[in-house]
Amino acid sequence: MAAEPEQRCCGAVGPRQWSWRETLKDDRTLIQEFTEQGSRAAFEILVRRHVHGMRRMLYGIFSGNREDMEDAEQEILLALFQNLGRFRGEASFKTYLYRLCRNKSIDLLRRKGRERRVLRSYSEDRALLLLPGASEDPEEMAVRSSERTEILECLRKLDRDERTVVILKDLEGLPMKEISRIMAIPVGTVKSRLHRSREKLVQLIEGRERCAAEM
Amino acid sequence: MRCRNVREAVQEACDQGRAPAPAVQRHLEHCAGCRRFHEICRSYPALLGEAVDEELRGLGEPRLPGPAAAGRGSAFRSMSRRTRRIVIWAAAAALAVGIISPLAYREHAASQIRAYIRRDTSLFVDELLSARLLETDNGLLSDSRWFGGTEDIADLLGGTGLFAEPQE
Repeated sequence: MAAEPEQRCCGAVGPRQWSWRETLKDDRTLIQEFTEQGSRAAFEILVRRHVHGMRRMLYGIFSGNREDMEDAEQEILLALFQNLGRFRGEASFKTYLYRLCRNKSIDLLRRKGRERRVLRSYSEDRALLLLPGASEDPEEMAVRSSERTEILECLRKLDRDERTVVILKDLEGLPMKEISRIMAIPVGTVKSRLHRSREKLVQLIEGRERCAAEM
Repeated sequence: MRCRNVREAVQEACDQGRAPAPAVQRHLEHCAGCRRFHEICRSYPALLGEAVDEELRGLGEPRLPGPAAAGRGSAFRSMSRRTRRIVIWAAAAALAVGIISPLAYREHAASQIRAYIRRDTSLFVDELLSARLLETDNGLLSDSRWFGGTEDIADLLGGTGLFAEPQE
C-alpha cells in the first residue's frame, strides 16, 4: 500500500475510492495485511465493510442514543485496532466484531450507568433525526416517517437483548449459531428469545394499529 | 393446529426463508390473527431496517484510531494468551528474585560477620585462658609475658606451680 492512506486514516475518514483489487480482498487477507504488514489501509477497508452492521447492532443495544453509540463505536474501533492481532480466525470476522461490539457496549453501559437515561434522551434525538428530506413528497414522507417512528417505538419497548437478537437475525441475517456465539448463549436460547421478541414486537405493532384505527 | 404452534411454524419458515407448510397455510386461511402475524413477520424486517438505517444516516464516517493508538499496550495485548501467561510468570519470577536476592545476600553477610565475631572471640578467650598469668603487686592478674615470662611451660614448672615468677 502507498504511504498516502497511512496518513489519511488518522481521525475521520473522508470518502475514498478504493481500487477494485483492494475491495475484493476477503476479511482474512485484510486482517493478515494489517497484522503482518501494519497496513492501515487494510484496516480501513475492513472497518468500512462492517461499520454499517456494527452501527445497526449498536442502535439496538443503545436504543438509538447517539452519544453513546458514538462513544461505543470509538471504543470498539480502538479495541479492534489494538487487538486484531489476537483474532484467531475460529469464527468469522463479523462474529468477532459483533462480539467485541456487544462486550464493549455492555462495559460502556455499566460504566456510564446510563441505561435509564438512554430512554429519556431518545425522543429528543429522534425528533432531530426524522426531519423530512427536501426531495421527497412531504405527505408520503410523513406516512413513512410515521411508520418508521412506530416500528422504532415498538423496538424500543423490547429489552436490550431482545432488540439485539432481532437486529442480528432480521436485519443482519446472521445464522442462529453465530448469534449464539456473539451473545454467548446457547442456540436454543437464541431461538426462544428471538421468537419471544418477535411475538412481543408483533403484538406491539398490532396494538398501535388498533389504536390508530380507533382514533 | 393451535395458533401458538402455527406462530412458531411461521417464524421457523421466515427464518429459513421458505413458505409455511400446507397445514400452517390452511390454518392461516381461516385465522385472521395468525394471518396478520404472518404478514407482520414477513414485512417488519424491511421496515425496521429502513427505519434504523434512516436514523444511522446522520452518523457520518467512522473515526479510525490514529498511529498513537498502536503503541498503547498493544505489544502485550497482541500476544497470545499462552505467551501472555509465560510473560506474567517470568515477570513474577524476576520480581521474586529481585526481592529475595538482597535479603539472602544480607543474611549471608551477617552470618559471616557473626562467624568472624565468634571465631575472634573464642581465639581471644582461648588466648586469655591459655596465657601464663602473674599476680602483680596491685593484686591483678596479668600475662606473665608482659613481665619477662616466656610461653614455655617450664615457666610454670619453675615457679610456684600457679603463676610464673618474674625473672630477675
